[in-house]
Amino acid sequence: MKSNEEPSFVPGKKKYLFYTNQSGTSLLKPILDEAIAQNYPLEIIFNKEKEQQLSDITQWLSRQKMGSYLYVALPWNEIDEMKSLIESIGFTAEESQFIGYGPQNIKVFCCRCHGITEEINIKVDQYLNCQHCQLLLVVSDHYSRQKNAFLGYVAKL
Amino acid sequence: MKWVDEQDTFPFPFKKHEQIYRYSNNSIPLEISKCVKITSTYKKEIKLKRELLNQHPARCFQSTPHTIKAQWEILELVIDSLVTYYPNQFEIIKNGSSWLFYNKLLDEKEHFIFGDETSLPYEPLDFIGRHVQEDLIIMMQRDGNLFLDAGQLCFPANWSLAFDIGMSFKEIHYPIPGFKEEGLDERILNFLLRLEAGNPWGRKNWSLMAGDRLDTSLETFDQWGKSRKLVTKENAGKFVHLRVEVQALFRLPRSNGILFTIHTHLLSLEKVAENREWVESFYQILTELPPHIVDYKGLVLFKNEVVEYLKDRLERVRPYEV
Repeated sequence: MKSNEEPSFVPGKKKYLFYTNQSGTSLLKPILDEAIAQNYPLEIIFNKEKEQQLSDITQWLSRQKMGSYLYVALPWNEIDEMKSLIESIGFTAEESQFIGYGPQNIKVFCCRCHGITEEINIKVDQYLNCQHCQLLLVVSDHYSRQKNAFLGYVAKL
Repeated sequence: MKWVDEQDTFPFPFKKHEQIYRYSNNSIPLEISKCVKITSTYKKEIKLKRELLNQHPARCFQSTPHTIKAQWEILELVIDSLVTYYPNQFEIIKNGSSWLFYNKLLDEKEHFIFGDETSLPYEPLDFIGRHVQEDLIIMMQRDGNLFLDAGQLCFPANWSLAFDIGMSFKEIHYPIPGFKEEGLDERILNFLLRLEAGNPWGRKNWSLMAGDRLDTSLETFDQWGKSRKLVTKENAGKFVHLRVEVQALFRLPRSNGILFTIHTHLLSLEKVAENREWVESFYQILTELPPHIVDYKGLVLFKNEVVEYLKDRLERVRPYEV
């Protein structure tokens, strides 16, 4: 499942699904416009209070048919939980895109001790210390979906 | 402890008069279906392998539960190779599913029930990997893609099995510069997806190592990476080693996975330079090597020193004197 700051349109799907809130709508607008322009069937659901949100989206997505494609636009701090939920419903990486906004908690995998260090909005090529073994790491763009983390290399020899 | 090869058994990775190196799918069909090779450093390397596995299990072995059947296939394939090509060193006695494996080199006997992992001290891949010098990687095929779903990796060339576990072929190779841009990832993936059982393929990969360490894991880079700063033209001959991985690919007919074996060899530059053709070829290749490959292979800190050393050796040895 892709996590990006900007969505990309994947043509040729049977139906397009959008799950977002007011702020996320503007991020998804280009995709919505494209789907409308090409007369694709689509559904948009706006997220609500958290308790309601999880049961609503589960029911909604569970009744969707094969060939549907899902876009989710939410604050970064809600993306991970939503990804797990959507994956458990049966949507694969090839059937969904996640668009985050706001502060992003980036996970970095330490190449030496395998510990995960989280830091807000850290970028590729920036340095951070591993919280577990204190090694100075440089953040790479090599990403593991399984670990939801970027690989941190030894920053200085 | 030394585990460097002898010159006459070293798998020099370049063809005669080869002068240019680029990333490519340089695989060739294997003439014989042999997935392991026993060399003179067998006992030393197995001792080191087992120490690493015991001390750093998460670094050296990873698996996902759905690979167990493929692991048993690999155990059978490796044992078949061992007893076929090294009958004086290895023996298997099969009584139905009750197997007795005898490693005569180490004087170890293991009785187990084929297909029952509770009868082995480790998972099948981890067990049989402790009897061979090769690192063993399983790529499982699904949805038209290949995934690194299990591996025993003690002598990696600066990569982390723990980080890469579960990744697709393209995700694993994402850091290689130009690999995606030149479409190599797609071409090699398609080649691997078409691999057939009974028709194994092999290739060689190479790098340079400042020192003679086999365990060049990403996890220990902060220890061994520093030695790159110590290379000089004067010490390069003894200190720097050409590191060659002999890799082989076997389709597993029952699970449809792929076994990827890696046998790592080291030879000092001093020994490389004793062969006139090798030193000529390697000097030309290193001199011409594009910056992105120099960088990815970790040669930035000592390539110039190595080139100077090889040049000096070329000038000192008259053509075909050796």
